[in-house]
Amino acid sequence: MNLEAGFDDLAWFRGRQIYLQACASCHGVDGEPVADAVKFDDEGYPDPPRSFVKGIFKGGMEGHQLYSRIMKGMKGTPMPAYEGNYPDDAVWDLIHYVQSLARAGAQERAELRSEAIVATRVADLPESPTDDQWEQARGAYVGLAPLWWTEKRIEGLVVRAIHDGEELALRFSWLDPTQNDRAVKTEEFRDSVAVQFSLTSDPPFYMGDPSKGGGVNMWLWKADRQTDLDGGYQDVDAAYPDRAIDMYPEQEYTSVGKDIGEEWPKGAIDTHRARYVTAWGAGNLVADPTRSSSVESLVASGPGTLAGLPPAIQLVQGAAVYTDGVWMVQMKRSLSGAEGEALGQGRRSFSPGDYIPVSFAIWNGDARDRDGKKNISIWQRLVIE
Amino acid sequence: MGSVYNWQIGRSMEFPHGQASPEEQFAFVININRCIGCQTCTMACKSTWTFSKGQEHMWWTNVETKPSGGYPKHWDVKTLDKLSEANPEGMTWAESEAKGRRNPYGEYQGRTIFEAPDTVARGGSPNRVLGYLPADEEWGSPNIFEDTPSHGPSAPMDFGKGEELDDQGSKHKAWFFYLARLCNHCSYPACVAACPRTAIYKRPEDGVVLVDQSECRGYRKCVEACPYKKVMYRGTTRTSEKCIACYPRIEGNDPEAPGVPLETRCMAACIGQVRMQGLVKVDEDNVWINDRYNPLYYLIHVARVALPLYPQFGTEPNGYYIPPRWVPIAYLEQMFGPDVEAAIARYRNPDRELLAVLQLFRRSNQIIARYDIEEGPKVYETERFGEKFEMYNDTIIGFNRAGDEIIRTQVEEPVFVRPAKHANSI
Repeated sequence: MNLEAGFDDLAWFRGRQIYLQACASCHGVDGEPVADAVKFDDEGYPDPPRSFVKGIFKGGMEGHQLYSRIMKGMKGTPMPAYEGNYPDDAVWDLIHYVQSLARAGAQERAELRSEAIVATRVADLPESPTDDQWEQARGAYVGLAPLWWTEKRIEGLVVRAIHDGEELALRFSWLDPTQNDRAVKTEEFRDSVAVQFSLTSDPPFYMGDPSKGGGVNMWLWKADRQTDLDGGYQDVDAAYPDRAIDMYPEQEYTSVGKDIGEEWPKGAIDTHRARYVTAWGAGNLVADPTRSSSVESLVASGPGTLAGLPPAIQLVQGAAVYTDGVWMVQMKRSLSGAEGEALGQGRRSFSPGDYIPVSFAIWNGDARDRDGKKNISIWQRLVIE
Repeated sequence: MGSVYNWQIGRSMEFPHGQASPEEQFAFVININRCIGCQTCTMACKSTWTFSKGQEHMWWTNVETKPSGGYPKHWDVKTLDKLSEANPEGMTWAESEAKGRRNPYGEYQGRTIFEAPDTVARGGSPNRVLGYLPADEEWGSPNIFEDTPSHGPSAPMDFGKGEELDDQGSKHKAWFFYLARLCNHCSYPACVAACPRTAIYKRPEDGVVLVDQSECRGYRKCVEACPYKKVMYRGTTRTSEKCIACYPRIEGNDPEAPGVPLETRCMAACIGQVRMQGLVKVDEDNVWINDRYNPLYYLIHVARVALPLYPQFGTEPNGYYIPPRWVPIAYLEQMFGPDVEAAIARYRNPDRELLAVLQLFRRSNQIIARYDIEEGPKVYETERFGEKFEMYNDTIIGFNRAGDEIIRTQVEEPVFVRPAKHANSI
C-alpha cells in the first residue's frame, strides 16, 4: 500500500464524493447506517452495516486498518472488497473522510479508563438528586461498554460522591432517551443502575470470585421500584386499566378493617393475601410490593451467586428524577452500614481515608437489558475524603 | 456444555447441565382423536392455581385449535421458524439400524434449540437456548382462531386435504383438531438451561420442573427459552411462574386418596376421557425402563400409538399424543416426528391389548401403576382398511402404587336401558 496522503478541504471533498458513490447506500449519507440496508452474511444471517459516528470500529479506526478493510472487504460479511476500483490516493481520501465522521471525542469516550471518584466531606447532604449540594462534588465521567453489543447501549455515566461523616451519598446521571420504569407486561424491562464495592482493597474479578475476600457488595436501583414508591405500586391495573375481572377469590374483600369499597375487585395489592401472590408469599424480596426502598443491597462472589441481603439489613435509600432524556439517581446509606449493630455479612463499610475499588453497571430497559445484558465499567477508585 | 442422551431424537445432544435423571418421571398421554375442546381441563387448572392478581393471562394448561390457533399466538410456528433458520438443510430424520427404546423414531439429523448457538447469537441476546419472547398481545386471546379449519388450496395455511376416516375413500377438504397442552416437564428443560440463577429445577423424585418462587428475579430468560411457552411472567410479582404438575396430588397428599399418587387436576377433570397421567421409570440416560404393564409404557413403547410433541426441539418432552387420524400426515410429522403414519395405523385398527388399555382412560383419579387383563369372549369381527379387526370383551384391571385394585372395566361397557315409564324422569 502507498503511504498515507495528507487531508485538506479538497481531499475531504474527494473523499465524500467516493463515499457517496460507494458507501452511502448502506452506511448512510451521514455515517449512520440506513435502517433497511440490512444484508446477509455467508450463512444467511442478517448483518447490519456499522455506524461510523459512534467511534467504535470492528477492527480499529487507524488508517492502515481501514485501508485493508476497504481494499480486501470483510470475508463472510456483506462488506465487499474495493481493490482495483479506485486509485490509492482516492482511497486515502475516503479513509480520512470516514475517520472525520466519528463524533468529536467518541473514540476517547469509548476507551475504558480508571478514574478516581472523590467523596467530598460536606456539612449537609443533599435530599434529592437535583439539589445544589451535589455541585460541591466533582463529577467523574466513567465509560461503559456493553457486554452484548446493542445500538441502544449506554455510553457512560457521571458519578458524584459526597459524605457528611455519617452517611455516604452517590449520584449517578446518564443519558437515556427512553424512560422505562414499569415491568408489569411480559415485554417490559426497566432501567437500572448498580454500583459494586469490592470488600477488599484488591478488587476481585467482575461480580466477585469465590476466593476469601473475593466478595462484592452491590447497590442496585431499579426505575420501576422508584416509580412504585413515588406514585403507588404498579400492578396489572397500571398496565391494563380497562381490563375486565369478575373477582379474585383470594382477595380479602370481606375482611374487617379493609374497606375496598368501589375499588373492588381491582383493589390494591395489599388487599390480596400474600400466599396467593406467590413469590411475595415465598419471601422473595424482588416480589415484595411493600418494600420501602428503590435500592436493593446484594452480595455476590462470582457470576450466578448474586443474593439479596435479608430485608432487615436493606439500608440503602434511593431517589431519582428523569427529565429530558437524563436519569439522575441518588443512593444513600450510613457509612458503617450497621446501624449500631455489628457489621453484617457482606456489607461494605466506609471510613474517611478509605480507598475502595468500585465499578458500575447500567441496564437500558428499552434494549431489554437484564441479568448479564448490561453496560459495565472497569474498576474505578472511590476515595472517602 | 455437557452431552446428554435424548432417546426421542435417538442420539446424544448438547445440554448446559449435563446428564441427570429422576427416580421417576412425570408423563402423560392425550388422545387427540377424542378431545372435544370443552376446556374443562383449562378451567380445572385455572380455578386451582391461577385465579389471583397478575395471573389473568396465565393458562398453565390450555386447549388450542390447530393448525390456526395457539397460546401464546403462533408459539409453535414461531419456534419452528427460528429452528429452521438454524437448520437450512431442514429438520430431517434418518432411519436407525435397530430401533429400540433408545431410538424408537430413528435419529434426528437437524439441530435442536440447544445446538444453534450461532443463530442464538444473531438474535442479539446473551442466551443459551434458541427462543423468543412472545409479545404482550400474543398472550391476550388464548382461543382466537378456535374451531377454524385450514384454509382453501390457495391460502398460505393450506396443508392439503385431510386423511380418510373410513375406508370408503372419502377425504375431508377442511380439517382441524384440538391440541390440549400443559408443561411437558421435559427431561432436558429449556427453562432450566436458560435460567442464569438456577432458580428453576427438576425434582429428583418425579421429574417435575418448578420455578423456585423465592429465588426467581424475573429475567424472563425461561419465558424466552421454553419452546412450548409454558413459563409465564407475572407482572404483579415481577417474577415468573409455571405449571407445578399439581405436585401435592402427585405426592399423595390429597385427601381424596391419602398416600397414593393422584393424577393432576387437568387430567382428573377431563370429561372427554382423553387424558391419562402417570409416573414412569427411567435409566441414567432418561431412557424408559421396561415396565411392561405400566399403561404409559405400553402406549408409548409397546403399542407405540402416543408420540412426543415436537421432539425435534430437543427438550425430550414428557407429554405424548395419540395423533388425530383425519389430519394430513405431513402436517403431523412436523409436530410428532416420523412415526406418525405407523402410530395412526396402529390406533385405527387396535389390537386386542390396545383396545383394553384404551378403556383405562379416566376410570380413576389415582395414578395407575400397573394393569392386568382377564380375557373375555370375542364379540365382534369386521374388516377395516383391508385388515381384519376383532373385538374381545376383555376385562382390564388397574392397580395403584400401593398395589390395590382401583378399577375394573370391560371393553364392552355394560349398557342399561331405562324402562319406558322412567324415560323422562330424573
